[in-house]
Amino acid sequence: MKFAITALAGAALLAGLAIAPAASFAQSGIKPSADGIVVYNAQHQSLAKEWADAFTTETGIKVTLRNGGDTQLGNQIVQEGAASPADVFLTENSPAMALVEKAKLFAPLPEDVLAEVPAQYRPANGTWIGIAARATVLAYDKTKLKEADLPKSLLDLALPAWKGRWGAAPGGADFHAIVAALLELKGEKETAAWLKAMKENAVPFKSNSIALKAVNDGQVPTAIIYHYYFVGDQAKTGENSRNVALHYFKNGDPGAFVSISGGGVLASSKHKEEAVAFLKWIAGKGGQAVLRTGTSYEYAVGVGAPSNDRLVPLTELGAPKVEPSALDSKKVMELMLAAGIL
Amino acid sequence: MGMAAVVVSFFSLLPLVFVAWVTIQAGWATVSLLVFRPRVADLLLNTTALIVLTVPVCAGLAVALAWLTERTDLAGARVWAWVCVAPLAVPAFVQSYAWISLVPAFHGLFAGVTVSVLAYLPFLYLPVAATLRQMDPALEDVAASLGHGPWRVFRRVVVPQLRLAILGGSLLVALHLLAEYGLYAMIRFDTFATAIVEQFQTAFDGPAANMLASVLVVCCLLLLLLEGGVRGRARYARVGSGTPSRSRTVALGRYAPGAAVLLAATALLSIGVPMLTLGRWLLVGGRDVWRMGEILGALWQTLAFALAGGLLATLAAFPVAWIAVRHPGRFQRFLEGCNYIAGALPGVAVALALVMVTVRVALPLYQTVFTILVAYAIIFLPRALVSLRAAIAQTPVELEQAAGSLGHSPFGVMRVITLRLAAPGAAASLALVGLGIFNELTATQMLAPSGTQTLAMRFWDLSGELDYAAAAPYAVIMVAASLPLTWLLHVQARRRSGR
Amino acid sequence: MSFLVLQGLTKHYAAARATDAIDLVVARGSRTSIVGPSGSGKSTLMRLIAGFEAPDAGTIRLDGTVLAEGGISMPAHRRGIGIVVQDGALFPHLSVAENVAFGLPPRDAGRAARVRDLMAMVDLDISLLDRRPDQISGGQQQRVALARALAPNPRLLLLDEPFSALDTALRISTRKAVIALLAATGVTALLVTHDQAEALSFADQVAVMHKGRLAQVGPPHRLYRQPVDRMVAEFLGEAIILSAVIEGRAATSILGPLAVAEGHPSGRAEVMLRPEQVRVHVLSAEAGVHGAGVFGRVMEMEFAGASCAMVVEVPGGAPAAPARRIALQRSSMDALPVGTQVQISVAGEAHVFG
Repeated sequence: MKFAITALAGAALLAGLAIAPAASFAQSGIKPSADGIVVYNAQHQSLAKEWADAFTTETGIKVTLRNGGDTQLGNQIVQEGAASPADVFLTENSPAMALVEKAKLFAPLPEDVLAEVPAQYRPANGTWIGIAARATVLAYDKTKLKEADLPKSLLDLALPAWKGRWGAAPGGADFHAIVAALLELKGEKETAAWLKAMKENAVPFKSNSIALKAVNDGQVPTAIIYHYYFVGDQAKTGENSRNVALHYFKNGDPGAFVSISGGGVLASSKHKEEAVAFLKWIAGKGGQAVLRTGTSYEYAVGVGAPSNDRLVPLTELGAPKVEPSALDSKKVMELMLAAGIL
Repeated sequence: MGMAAVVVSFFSLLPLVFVAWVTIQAGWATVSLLVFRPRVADLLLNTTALIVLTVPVCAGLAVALAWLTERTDLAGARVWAWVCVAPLAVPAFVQSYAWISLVPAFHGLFAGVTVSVLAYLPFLYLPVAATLRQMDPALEDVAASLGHGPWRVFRRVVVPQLRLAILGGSLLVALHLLAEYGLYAMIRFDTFATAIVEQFQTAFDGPAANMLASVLVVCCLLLLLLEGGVRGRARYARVGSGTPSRSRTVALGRYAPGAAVLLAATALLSIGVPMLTLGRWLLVGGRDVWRMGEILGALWQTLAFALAGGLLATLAAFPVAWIAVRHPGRFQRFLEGCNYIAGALPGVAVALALVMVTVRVALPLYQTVFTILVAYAIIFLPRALVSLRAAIAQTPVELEQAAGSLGHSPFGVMRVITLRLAAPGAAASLALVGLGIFNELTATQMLAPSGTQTLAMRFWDLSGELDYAAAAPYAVIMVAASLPLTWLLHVQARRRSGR
Repeated sequence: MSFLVLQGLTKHYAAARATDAIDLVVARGSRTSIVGPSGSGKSTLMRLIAGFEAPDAGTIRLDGTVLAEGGISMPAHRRGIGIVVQDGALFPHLSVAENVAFGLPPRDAGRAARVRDLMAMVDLDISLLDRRPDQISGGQQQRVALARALAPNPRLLLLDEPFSALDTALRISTRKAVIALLAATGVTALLVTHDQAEALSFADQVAVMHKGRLAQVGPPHRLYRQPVDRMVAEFLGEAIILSAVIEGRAATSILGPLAVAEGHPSGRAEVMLRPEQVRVHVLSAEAGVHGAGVFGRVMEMEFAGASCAMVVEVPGGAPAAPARRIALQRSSMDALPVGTQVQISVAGEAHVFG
């Protein structure tokens, strides 16, 4: 018996010993060091890493990334509550930010941070800010379809004519944001009906990249994605988008929705100063320049920060006006579960 | 020792208890709302179809290949035997990555069944081939002398004796089908495991994920019951003491080309496709994809996890294995059974339960190395148990008694004799568990501390971004690390049956 | 009369000849043993007859039908030859009853009755019918294997070392039971064994096999008394081999004059005696000298219960011929102390090789 306890204790000890060198070796370290910050990152890993590395070089503050999806990390923060190890939360879309905001877990941001971003790219209450933006598009197979064949509105995709002819990645937060915008713009009844039609009409894919590739490979003629998957692929080899063109819905249509990626500092953070500095850096010149010059091809949203030249300017997109903190991911989840999509 | 075994069993049953508790707590209304809905019916249908199609195909193919490599005059049978085991070295999600990057439109049930058969064939081939090798050839001779033609001999004498091997292997394959996430996520085939991970990724530990996990756990338990029921109390001891004589080899004659084609096709699909794809992507990627800093970092972390997890699982398994061998009784068998059941649960269910336990009850343990190691130990405990059990069973109890009579205390005896003699078993356990952890994806994603980047995680993220070339080095490292152990397994299986 | 006929039966394994031009004739209803040291090819011979392997050359005929000839071989399941092997080879997944009925037609109404008859025939209780093979003893397993082999009324029964897995007492009683059963059913049987006592007591005809060839075939007593060569002589039992000078029906050896059969050419030859032919007499005043026997002295004596082993040294006589020690068995009632002076006489004829 004594032996067994010693053995188990020994196991734990050995396990600790074995992990210790790994922790010190790993680039960012498994346990955040006392002076560093932990970022729950739902943004693209490569973009977040670029931001974090540049910030660390500039300020000497260590950044540890925990990667995941928008809603996963948002819900995780809500679950963890005041005990959350996270200092900063970065997302790809607004609904997850709204989720954490509703749980009152964000610390209010100082004026100088808010001032980095124009008012339309942040919620009115000042608990978080936009750090980047992405535009909803319909990617289509230009070898099979002409501009005239395309739907005028996102809502048209519910028509029987589009049965089996469009794809999406319904498991991802990107799509949830689009549905949230639809819900905000058209109300619950219409959204539920549209989702029901979607269950019939749409071909589900695991991610936007894969949906894009499926259009390119002729598996499905169109797909609802965000613009930068296409732009990014074109900038690289174009291997997965050679046969693809983008259709912008414009005219304030729900399908022209521009989704704001958010960033906020947690109220429970024990490194608030560093966390605020990081967020300000991202929204400021340095962080926004990464968007213009880097390979993410997301829109820059900072005051006076230009976006990448390859992009159709934000002002020409005819996006509908949506208050970002009103986007309700919980309701979206319920509706999608009810429609049998999730 | 007994207490330690109880503690280990408690830990391994934790996920099961938690899933049950959450289900009960959720109340009937929530349960019925989340369980009795079309989506769950779809998943159930998909999962059932997957198992019902994959397992028989796998079993039939395994019996055919095992018979060809063990019992016929097939040219190069020894090489083929190794080739049939080799797919073990290719993690299931790498197998599916190979297919999806070769045939982008490959998806759905057919794709799921195809890739599953290729990835899990060795689980059935190994026990069937071993049984065929150990089978007394005199039985077949006698059956022939009693007027049975070759086909009837195969049906009435060979197949019945393979039954246990086929059943055991089928259970293993079915459990893997239920548990696997990466393989099916990649080829867009929805199963419970993929739906749970999807739910987790959209809503963290939302009730929907928990209910799906409950249904999945029930499926696993049903499979265990089914296998237990079919197997019954049968055990086919070899009667008599004579050593098995050299088994008869069947001359294939004009069927030889057909047999060679079957083997070559299986090999081409199960290891040829991954090798081709990986080779192609490495060629496309050139030197750019070998970002050594990142790769070495991931390799180092993965190795550390594998080693630490292997040690923990082995040490945790020791008391259970020792008690099961030295003091067999109903309660001890029950304890051992508990650990096997826990080990049969999919990694995704175990991980989800541990996330819940740590977030809600033991927050300080949340996202710690300790928790992920506990998860590994629970998931891979059966591997450790099997290895240790065999080793301890081979240590004669007389040696322990002799040491005791020479004045050593029971713990001294344990240290001086049992642990020493069980060392090879412990090494095997360490290696088997380590390999499992090396290629583990789902639980690591859900439980590992912030900043963790294992090889499997990096591979998964990169292939998810369609950067197949950059993902290739990680896949190559995982395959290369798994090869030696796969080889060892193959050699050991052959040696054990005397060849 | 000739029921099983083997002619020139040859089988190669790699370069080695497992059986080399075997000729053998077995009479209907008879029992034949094939005996030889391990590796002599006797098991291969059995497998060829059973049809588990095809011969490279030669023919096998059974009751007039050709079973194998010129490389064409009838498969085992069409031959109607039963076999019982060393450890019984009972099907572990079937009950005793299912094992016995294995070779019977599947939908035969008389199956159950036939199984019961067979169980009675091999002297097994029918309560064993539902047991699994691993739940009955080794001797019972062999009897079940025998019943199973006899069930389809085989034309020929092959027994491949069927008693060697049993302990001594069980071996003898099982052998007797099998002999009685074979006599009762009239089935022709072929026994393969490496145990010479078993071979001699079982059969009407014994074949000694050595290095793939049949060294000698014949009735047991003839093989024992008149082996063709030293190998056969020593394989079948203890042999005292002496060099002697033959002249007519007499031979002169170190043991004095010996009687031999007619027709051997005069001159030097090797002769064989079995130890039981050698008698030892104590030299004493009362008994006196026995005829022409030579004298010797007891050198060793080992007590072994019913019998004792004794070594007697006989002086060489001529300077060229050294002294000779002879090992003998005798009743332990006649044990003699070491050093006793004895006189030796020989009963019966000595066998001349060549």
